[in-house]
Amino acid sequence: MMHDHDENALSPELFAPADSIQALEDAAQGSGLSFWQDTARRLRSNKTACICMASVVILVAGSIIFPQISGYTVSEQDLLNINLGFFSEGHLFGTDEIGRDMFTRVWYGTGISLTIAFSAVLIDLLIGAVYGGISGYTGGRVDEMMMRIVDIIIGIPQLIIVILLMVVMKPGIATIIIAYSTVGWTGMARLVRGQVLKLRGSEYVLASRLLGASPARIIARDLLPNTLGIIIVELTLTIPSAIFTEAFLSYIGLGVQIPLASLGTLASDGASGFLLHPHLLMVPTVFLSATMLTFNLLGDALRDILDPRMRS
Amino acid sequence: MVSDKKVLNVEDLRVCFDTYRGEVQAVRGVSFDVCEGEALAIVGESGCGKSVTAHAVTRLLPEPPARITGGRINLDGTDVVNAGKKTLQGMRGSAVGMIFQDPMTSLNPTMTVGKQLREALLRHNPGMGLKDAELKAAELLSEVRIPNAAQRFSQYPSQFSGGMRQRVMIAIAIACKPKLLIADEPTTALDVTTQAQILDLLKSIQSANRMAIILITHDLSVASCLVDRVAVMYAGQIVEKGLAKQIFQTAAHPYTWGLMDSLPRPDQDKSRDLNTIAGSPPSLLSPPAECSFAPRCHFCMQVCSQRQPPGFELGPGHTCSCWLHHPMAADMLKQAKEASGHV
Amino acid sequence: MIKFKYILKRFLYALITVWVLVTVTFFLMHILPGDPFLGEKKVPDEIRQALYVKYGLDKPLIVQYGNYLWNILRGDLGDSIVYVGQPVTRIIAETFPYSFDLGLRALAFAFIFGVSMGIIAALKRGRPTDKIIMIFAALGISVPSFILGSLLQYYLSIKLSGWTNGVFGFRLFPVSGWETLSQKIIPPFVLGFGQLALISRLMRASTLEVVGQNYIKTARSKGLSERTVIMRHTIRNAILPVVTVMGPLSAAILTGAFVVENIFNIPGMGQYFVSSVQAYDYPMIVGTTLFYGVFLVAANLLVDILYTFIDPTINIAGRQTD
Repeated sequence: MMHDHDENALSPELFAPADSIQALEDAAQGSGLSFWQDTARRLRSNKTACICMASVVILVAGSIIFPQISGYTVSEQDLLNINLGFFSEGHLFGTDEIGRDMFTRVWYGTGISLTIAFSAVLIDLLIGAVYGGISGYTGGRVDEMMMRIVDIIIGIPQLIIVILLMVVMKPGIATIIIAYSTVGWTGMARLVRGQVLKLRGSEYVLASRLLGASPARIIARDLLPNTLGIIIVELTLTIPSAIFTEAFLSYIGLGVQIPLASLGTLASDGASGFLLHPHLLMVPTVFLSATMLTFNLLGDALRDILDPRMRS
Repeated sequence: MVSDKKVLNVEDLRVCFDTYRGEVQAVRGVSFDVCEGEALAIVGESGCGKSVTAHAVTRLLPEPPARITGGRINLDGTDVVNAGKKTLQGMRGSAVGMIFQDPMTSLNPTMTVGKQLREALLRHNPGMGLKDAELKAAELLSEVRIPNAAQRFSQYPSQFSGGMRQRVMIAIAIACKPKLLIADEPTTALDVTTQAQILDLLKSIQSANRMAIILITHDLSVASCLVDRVAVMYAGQIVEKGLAKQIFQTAAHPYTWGLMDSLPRPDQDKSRDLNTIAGSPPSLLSPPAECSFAPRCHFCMQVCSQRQPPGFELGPGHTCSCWLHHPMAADMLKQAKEASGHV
Repeated sequence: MIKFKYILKRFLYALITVWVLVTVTFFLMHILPGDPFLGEKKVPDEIRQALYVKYGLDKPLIVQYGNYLWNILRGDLGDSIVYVGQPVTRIIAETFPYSFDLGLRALAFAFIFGVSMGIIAALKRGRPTDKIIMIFAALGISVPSFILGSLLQYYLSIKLSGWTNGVFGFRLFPVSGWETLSQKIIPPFVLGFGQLALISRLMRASTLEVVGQNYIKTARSKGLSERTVIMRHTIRNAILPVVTVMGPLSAAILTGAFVVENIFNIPGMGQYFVSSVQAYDYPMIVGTTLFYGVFLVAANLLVDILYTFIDPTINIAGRQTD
């Protein structure tokens, strides 16, 4: 009645009881990794994310170091050596129409653009987080009113307001950051408010479930990391938009002013002289696009990694 | 009522999933049949592979990352494993209908319920006119006990409750009178009263149309209402199968005992804790070569942690994969039965 | 009925937004330090006084604000300072049609190709087609339009067309201008490219999300062909988020037009906006800003209304959740 192909191999001793109920093996069940460990592991295995993060490090480090060691300053002119191309003697990326070294300028410009972008995004985070946090926490009519204000601000075309603000204030690094932040915080506000609402909801659910774990622990362990993740993704994806805004402003003359330089000013300078000296546009373009691309791809990768659905 | 003709024959089915952690073997050699007009329940806890099996029968698994790596599926004459797209599309809806677990997300939110129903009808009835299809659709809505069918026809799913959406799903699934209806945890997301109504509806549809049903559930009590035969799954394999009577009255596998013990009963002593089966199922990333239930089994023997048990036939149609039923384990079996109370 | 209430509400919001914009613009302009008239030349005091009176700059702020609002309602945006004597409204009326033409073509281009590419990328997820489309899209959002414009102008209009001119006797792409059909190809492409990239990314994500939904499985279980499932079920749901974003997208296209008009010498409003900003021509700045603002608020409103026709559940659910 049974079909055991190895009947001889079954000896009666095998049918004695096992020594003990075998270990309730659980730990090795694959989970048990904390949120951050799991995130770190996913991050490492995602090639795009790794390349992007390396790229960020290179850009930031380069923008700090290279202008110092290149041997030229940002505004040092050398009218004897104008419009040199790539790999010219002494100038890896050539010079511009008044002899300034492009290598120095482009790394310096990257630094300025990154500074503006990071600062603007961080201020957005601060304002947005506070505003959204208060709105979500207070709830009720206050929340509704605050969100309506946000709706209206979002309804107004942001770039136009930024341009107006730049007309009013004197163009410069600080004013660009201020102008951008004035209208850019709304996205973060909505996000934070949404998360705060979720947190509030869970607190009540937890309390009513009367489980042993305190709500604070569960918030800290599961919800907060999730929230942080979403915020990090939003920050990463907003950086390219800040860089773009700066570049745009520079193109219409409202950006960073001489003697400083940013990727935006370099690109717009290069665009006008493009027909005769393509490298003047190429160099800042590559850096500008690489920077924006890096943060966009990084944001995408982070979003995929932190997507709760992928974690089941 | 139940004929001998087989509507579905599944033999040694194996399904894998390719995940970023590796290959997960979700189904490891599952075999069963369903005859015309018969109701089979596939019971087991979450993750045992019952849902994957059900989806494999209609090839509705997402085919990356899922892969059918072995076995045969014969549905009303069609070789499902090797069938081409057109064959599968012809089979779905006409030979086999399916309803899913979460009625709240199973209907297209931007299309009226009537249109979704009409779509199912027109697919397999090419000669049917629009008007006829609409009439038939309204009829189907009444058949699944939705009141005001004519009005409901032009409403959107968001205007229906969970129970009613599930009825709509049933209507869609039986629209073209399939020979087999696969119900994947149809009542899990519903409250108890609605559960009973849906099960009742399924029962009446089954007898009215002589339709075979596969009912997937983790809840033994749900299974008991409706079915002729039961298959118990654990860790990607069927550990016991037989007639409903055989399973409920003379269950033979320690896991089945555990499932039945864990059902809360009104006559139970309320001061005692609920019975649970301690531990959790093994990881299917590297499935065990021995009996998958061994680590959690109170009656585990040495052989159990070394080799997989074969299927032992305990009676006509009743098989059980457990070493306790090997002739050499007769004493252990007796002890186990007495200890567990399943004599 | 609910649909009507919703539309009314959005309309009210739009009006309030416009009013806020108008007010903000006014106060910003009056915070400006300095004086529009001290800019270039030395202007004698009496003339300055006369100019002040002419432009109403001598009256208290509130009165100016009132006049300002009243004028706007009457359709009077004042005269340009730089283009002496020309009413702002006339300048707008003469130049906006060009910008609108350019913008509309760019929008249509971005939408049609963006949606198609997004769907294709999603359906062929992970395969080479998907990767190529996504790289393309990533470049699109990383290269600002003025750079792309300059590059294309150089390579296509100068180099390539110079070659075709030498070989075939005609220039394939003109360098600038906005009259003939061949002049209207590159500028809308440049203008719409960034948005195309955005749309295709969004559409791809949305399609992937929809494809994983249970109701798509239900559709398949009916035995519908893949094509029907995609057309009737997937796209209809996946395109909703893209439609919602068309409002802000139009804003991006409109502002992007400043730059494109500049590069390709298209006589649109953007050029005037930019030059008025650089010259501190206040009536022009205010006038064009308001015009843009109102136009975009109207565009957003239009999209909102359109959306209610595409997504029937709005009527029942009422408010959209944010």
